[in-house]
Amino acid sequence: MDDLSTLLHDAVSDVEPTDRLAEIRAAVEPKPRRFGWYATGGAVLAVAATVTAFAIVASPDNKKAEDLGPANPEPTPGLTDTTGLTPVPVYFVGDTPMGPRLYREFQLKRESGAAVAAEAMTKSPYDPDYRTFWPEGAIASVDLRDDVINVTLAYSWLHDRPDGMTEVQAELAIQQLVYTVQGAEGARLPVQLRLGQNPIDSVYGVPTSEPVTNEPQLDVLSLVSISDPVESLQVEDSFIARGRASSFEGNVPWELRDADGTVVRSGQTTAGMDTHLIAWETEPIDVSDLDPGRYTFVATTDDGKFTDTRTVVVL
Amino acid sequence: MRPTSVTAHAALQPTALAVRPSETWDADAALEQLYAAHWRSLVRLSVLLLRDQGAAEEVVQDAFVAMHGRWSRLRDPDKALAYLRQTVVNRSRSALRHRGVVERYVAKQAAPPDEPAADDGVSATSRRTAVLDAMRALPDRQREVLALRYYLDLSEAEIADALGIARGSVKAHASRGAATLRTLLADQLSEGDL
Repeated sequence: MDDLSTLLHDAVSDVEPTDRLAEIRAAVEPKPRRFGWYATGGAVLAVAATVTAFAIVASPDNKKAEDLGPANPEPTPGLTDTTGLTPVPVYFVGDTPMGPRLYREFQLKRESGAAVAAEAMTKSPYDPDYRTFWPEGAIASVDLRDDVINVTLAYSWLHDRPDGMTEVQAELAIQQLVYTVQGAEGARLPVQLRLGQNPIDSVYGVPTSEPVTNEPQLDVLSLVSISDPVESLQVEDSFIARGRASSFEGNVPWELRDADGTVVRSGQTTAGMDTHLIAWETEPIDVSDLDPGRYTFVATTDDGKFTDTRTVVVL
Repeated sequence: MRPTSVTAHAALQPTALAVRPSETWDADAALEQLYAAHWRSLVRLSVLLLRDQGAAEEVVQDAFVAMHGRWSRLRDPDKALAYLRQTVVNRSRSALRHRGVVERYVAKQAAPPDEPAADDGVSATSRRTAVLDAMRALPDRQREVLALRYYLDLSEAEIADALGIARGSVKAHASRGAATLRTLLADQLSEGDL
């Protein structure tokens, strides 16, 4: 049988292909085609999501009025598996009746920091309702110098606004990046966008010669968002939901719906109404007598305009 | 009261996170590493199917680009390599069909094939030419099965996967193709001094 093997190997032994790696690399660099959403969420391992939630549940600081940084990564007593893993806040885009707004999602990473968060921002969010304005690999580096967060972009074509992207979307894209790197740095510092060594004068057609600052939360964020549970968290007995909101009289109504949309639990908790979002937290939600399966946790603002949802899996 | 709530599955956690390949193997890194390891052998595979090195390079280049675009669904070097092989075979077949049409029109203008050196018996060059000619003479499936089996040393199951056919068919194509190839290449095989 080896005779044919020898003949076929010999037949192409003098074929030395030319090196085409450069052409291949050029062909795979994302191109500024007509604008669409670069990535939408949903691709996540439920097991990984479970760990994320733990780290966030463990956070005693989550009630801080404006928690800029990641939740305290100190692991829950007895839970050693989160060693070295840190929840990193990443901002994604979701729909609201007021148009697209930013939602904060925690992702569990081996390293924290603005570069990690900025990279995650260019990839798929965990939550399938979210998406991103940034193509994968768009951020080359992030570093902090003299109280300015410098973000270096990887693609020169990010300079121009793609066909189909509105001015409002372009400005929100810049804010998505600003909120993400500020959140990861834990400080509301100005953000200078760069290409190579130099500041870039425009990103998606938005002027960026000077450092960019964060717009007011009430203008760019969803007025309610869920930090915990994370998408597809597995729960039994009970769970506590947490998030941030700015709602009339601080009311945050919530519901737990089964797969048919029937409300199986509901309640109300309070955050606050202020110039920024304020943390809220539910009492433990008892799910011990619910049938196993997928449920949707829904938190809304008092007027019902803003909503965030999470799938939880009752065991 | 502290909620007992959230379930741990402690045993699963370290593994699930450690092996999540997308964290460590993004599309660009996968492309670089697979290119370094397999560019040459995949081009050679395509030459066995197509005969034409320039066309083979085009086919394999396109396969790498396609693999990169699909990385979010592959996320694993082994799956990516299997995808590359499958894509190279499929695109080589398409290229062959397309070229077959073109060749019928340009056949009369084509340069004559290299003559074997008169004083060299069966030279290495003419032997290689004869093998590639014989491969071209086989039906598509037989040629593909033989190339995957004797050049890439794939198992029957891997070949069945790559071609999307049953293992029994792989066996049948392999035995028929091998018999034909041995007949066509009787001279080369009898030399026994490769």
